[in-house]
Amino acid sequence: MSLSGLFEQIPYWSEYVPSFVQMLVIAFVPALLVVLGVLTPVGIMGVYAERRWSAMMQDRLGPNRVGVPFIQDYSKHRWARMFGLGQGLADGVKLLSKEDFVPPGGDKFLFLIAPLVAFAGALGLFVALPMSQGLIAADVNVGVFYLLAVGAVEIIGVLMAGWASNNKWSLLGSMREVAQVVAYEIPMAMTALCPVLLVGSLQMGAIVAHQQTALEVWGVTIGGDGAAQWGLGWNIWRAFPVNVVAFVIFYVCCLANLKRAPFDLPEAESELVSGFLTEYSGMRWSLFFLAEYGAMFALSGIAATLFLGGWGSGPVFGALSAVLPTEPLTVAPGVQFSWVTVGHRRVLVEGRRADAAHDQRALDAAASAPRSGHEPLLQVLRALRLGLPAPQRAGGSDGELTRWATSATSCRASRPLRRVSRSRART
Amino acid sequence: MQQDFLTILIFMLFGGAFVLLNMVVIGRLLRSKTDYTEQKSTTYECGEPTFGSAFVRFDIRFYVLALVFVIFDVEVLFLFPWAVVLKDMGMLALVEATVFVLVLAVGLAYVWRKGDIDWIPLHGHQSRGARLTASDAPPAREPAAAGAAATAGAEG
Repeated sequence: MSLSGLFEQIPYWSEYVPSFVQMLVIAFVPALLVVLGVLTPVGIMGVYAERRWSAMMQDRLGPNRVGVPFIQDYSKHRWARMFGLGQGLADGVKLLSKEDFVPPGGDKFLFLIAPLVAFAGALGLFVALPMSQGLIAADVNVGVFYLLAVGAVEIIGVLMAGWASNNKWSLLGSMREVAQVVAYEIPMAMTALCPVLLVGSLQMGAIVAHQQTALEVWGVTIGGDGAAQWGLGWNIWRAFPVNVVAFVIFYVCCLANLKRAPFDLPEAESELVSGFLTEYSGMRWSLFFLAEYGAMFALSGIAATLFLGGWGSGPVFGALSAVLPTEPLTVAPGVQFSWVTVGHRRVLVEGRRADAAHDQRALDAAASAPRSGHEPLLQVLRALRLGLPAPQRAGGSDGELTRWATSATSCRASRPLRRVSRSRART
Repeated sequence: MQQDFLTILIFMLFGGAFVLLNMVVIGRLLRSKTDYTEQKSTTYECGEPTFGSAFVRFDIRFYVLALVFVIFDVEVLFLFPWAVVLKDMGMLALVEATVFVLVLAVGLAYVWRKGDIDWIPLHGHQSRGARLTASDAPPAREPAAAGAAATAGAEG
């Protein structure tokens, strides 16, 4: 049942409400739901999840303090801290209260409007993103085309920001970003065409529906409609080897368009301070981040819809999606983004430290770094980065380990400290 | 169809209203009053006193890349309607699109061979190597009379 169908259930809806009011209300409700119910939580929780996740991979604790502020002396109660879940909200309030700074000498109008343009680009993606059956704000008949076009709007905002800041770092960062997005835009559009070729429609709803029919590879039908419900009908399996390659290319292009880690040149913190964001502060600064995390979520959803069945991914996911009005598989690529990002960065950091110092002790320490749950992934990444000397398993003492962890992640090594205090308490 | 695009329009308007509400209304209530100081208004370039304008000309190579991008973006644009009707039109459409893509691929091969999409061309185009353009060169530095923080945007 679609959204307009829901409104038909209201008594006297179609008889007494004027048609243009009907149209306005039907348009307004998804906007309200998406902006308040999807985009803002995704931005807030996305930042929290990424910070916790990367902290876990780097053997730090990450934000774990801000919880329920209503309990007196709450920082002492472990559960009241809620694992730092309140961090995003607290950051949001903090950013709201920051000064809205406009650099003099810059282009004031462009500077003020640039975050809005970038945000509009990310918000526009959510309009045609199918969340669940019937849960799509507008199933436009040019869906894929619309999404690619609107997704490219963000760049205009970034270029405006870089130009208007009157800062050379900003200009360089935005130019890099534009060059990068321009470079990856075409392969992205090309690979998005592969599912469209199979389905014969640009409509997101039609693409999802097509993936619920039986899979046919080179004229042989594999499984029936039932098997298609369990993921066999996904577009990635159709026209067999082609779409797997297309998906990988699409994924890499997504990473580049979102300027996530192997492609984070535009924000290269160590050389350009933070690229086009250098002169921004407060809410305008966070709008860029809201746009980035929103686009991350939306692009994951687009990738899932085009290649991985979208919301119609089978009874298990289907049941889930009936409860949660979100596309279950968006979570998987979304997690991947942070995973690749942070894993890659950690391997690079280890490698560079070892390369630069030619220090066997640093290598030893890297090899005996505390195991997090992501060690297999890191090993794969190490193997993929051919220039990196293989970590050697030599016994670094605990002291070395702590020192390495402290210096490599440049934050307080909370875990060893906590252990010390516990053992003191016992003795 | 009308409903769809009306939805998109209202979506955007709502998003804009949400952002403005946050920034202009709630933000203004939460913010404390801040003073304007000359130190704060300087351009941040890692503590160095800034020289020259930030509104420098872009390198010409960005334009070449942008031109090539536009050509191939238009190609993709033409492929979208083709992709929708390919199933109905069959072999003929496939052959036609292949010819179309191949013609553009010849263009790409030419540009590639010419070295125009290399950032630093290896052969030919000696005049356009990896040197700085004239606009990138810093102008003569003004005597720093007013101290480190005074010259922000003075020339811009």
